[in-house]
Amino acid sequence: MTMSKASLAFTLVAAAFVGAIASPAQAQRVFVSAQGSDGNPCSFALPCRTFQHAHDVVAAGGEIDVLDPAGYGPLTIAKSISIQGHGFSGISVPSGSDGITINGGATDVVSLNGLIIDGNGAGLTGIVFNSGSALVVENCVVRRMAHSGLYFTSTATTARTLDVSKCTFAHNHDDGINITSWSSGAMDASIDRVAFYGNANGLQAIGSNGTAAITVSVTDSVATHTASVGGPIRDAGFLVDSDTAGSPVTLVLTRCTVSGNYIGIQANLFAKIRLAQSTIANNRYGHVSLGSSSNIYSFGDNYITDNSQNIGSLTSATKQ
Amino acid sequence: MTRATIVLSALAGLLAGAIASPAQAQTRVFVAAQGSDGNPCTFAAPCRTFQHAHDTVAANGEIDVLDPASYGPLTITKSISIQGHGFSGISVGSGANGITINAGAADVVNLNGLIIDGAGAGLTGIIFNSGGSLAIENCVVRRMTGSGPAFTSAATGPQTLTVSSSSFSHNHLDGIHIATASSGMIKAILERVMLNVNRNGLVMNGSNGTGAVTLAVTDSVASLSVSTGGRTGNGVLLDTVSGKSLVNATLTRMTISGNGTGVQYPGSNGTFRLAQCTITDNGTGYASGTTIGSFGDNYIDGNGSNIGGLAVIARH
Repeated sequence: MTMSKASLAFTLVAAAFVGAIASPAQAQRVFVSAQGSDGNPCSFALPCRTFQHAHDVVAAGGEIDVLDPAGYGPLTIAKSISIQGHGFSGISVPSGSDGITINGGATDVVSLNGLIIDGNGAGLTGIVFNSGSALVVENCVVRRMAHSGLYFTSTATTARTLDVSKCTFAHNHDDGINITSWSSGAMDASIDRVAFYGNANGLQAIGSNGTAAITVSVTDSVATHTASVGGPIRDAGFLVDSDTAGSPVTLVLTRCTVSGNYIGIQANLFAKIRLAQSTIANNRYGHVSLGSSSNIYSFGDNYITDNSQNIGSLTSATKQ
Repeated sequence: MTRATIVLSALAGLLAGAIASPAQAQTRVFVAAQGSDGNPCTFAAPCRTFQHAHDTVAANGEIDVLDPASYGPLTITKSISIQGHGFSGISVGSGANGITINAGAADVVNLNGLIIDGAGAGLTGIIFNSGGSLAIENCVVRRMTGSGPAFTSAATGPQTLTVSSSSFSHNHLDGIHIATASSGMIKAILERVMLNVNRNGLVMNGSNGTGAVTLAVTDSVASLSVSTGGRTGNGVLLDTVSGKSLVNATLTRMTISGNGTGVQYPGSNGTFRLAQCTITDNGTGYASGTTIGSFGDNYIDGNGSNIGGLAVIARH
């Protein structure tokens, strides 16, 4: 049969596309979908099925795009990568496993957006950051983990940053977010519009194991309903702890609501909390200073009410 | 013919039909992951790249994105709206810019729901060279070797910049860079913008032009600014000099934490006011050559030091 010129042209174009699909493996952008297969090249037309395979296929610095609502399995990240989950991309974390483990290189940046990580009470930690330069978590939900929602840790000597916005950490058995230093690398976290519900502690930062400073600023966020099964040293909306002067932990809460917890906010020893325009109400203990009577600073415009008791006092800080 | 050839021929016939249809510039065009720039950019036969869609659509038209994918860098030369729905990527190649805006003096450009990623090699995320107005909403610009958006006024007419609900992070230069280069005024409004881990979070430079600038930033974060050698960047840097652009800027409810310097104001031509801002845990909280205005309700504490002074402005 004869083909029209147009058909011929399109056939050639089609052949070119087939050629493109067959070409090299290190794509900058790869796709996963509910009915994809890891035998596929992770293209839009032939998407993969799991985050792990997509991660292994994509070039360093590349992006995984999710096409359908579905679970895409736990993964270990070993390079700079961006995962765009669009708010409908699940990771059902199996018993005894972690959801996302980040073992990146010293300059690697990992960005997670729009994921729903669910441990069903059996999966261990939602997101574990062991190494890398920076982690960005946006528009994510991490819930029902047997350990913490996000465990951000450092054994490095260089600084690393954590940036969390518009996320929910709910009903995790340990902490919503746990930031722990094990080394001399500074750790800085910026947290904005995050909800912590029903975790043992909403956010905990621990400097006692390392020598680096930990700096955390939290804005427009909520910590509530921490589980009240522990004792006065656990179960706080926000808990900061450092037992060495060389590893100070500072936390500033601006326009946060901390309500219905066993302890609202707690600072131990060389850790400090600053409070600005925040509500601390209906907790068993409102604010607790341990090992120091004066490491919680108030700018004098906080709403601290209907708590049964406080431990220690507030140090006045002056607005300027 | 093989089955594949038949299918493709049939498809080609269909497309040829579509292409043959009217040439009138459309006011709404579509791009999709499996589109082709040989297509007429309709919903049924979408295009593949932003640039081709831009070239096809009528002035004042809209590009709608149908799938998550990368749609390539583009240069905008007319009024246009791009609706990226939060899943539309632009992977910016080494040394290239993501979106370049060279529009007419009255043109309005609206960018919504784009993810512009430089992977540590692409130059500037969004470069505004000319146009009347630029709005950026629900966008992410990350990992550029230059700045996220760089908004420069080179025209004599007024220009406006509106940014909301967007995130600019891990850029090697500035999260947002705004500069005058002419006598054209700039009015900039930023709201709910995250500026983290850039060299500087927000820079307003009025030292090169003479157009007056008003800048208002609300409910935003400029933190963790880093530079070579560690945490030495500025959260917000406002710079102008006498005889150049008069800059009036107000920051309301910003959190500026973990920077080399929180707010830096070496300039001496205009006013810089702070309202209800948290400025904590910076190497230097504020550094001013000229007094910074404060409404007396800012949370400034836990910084290594401060340089210069604050002058309290009455609240009413």
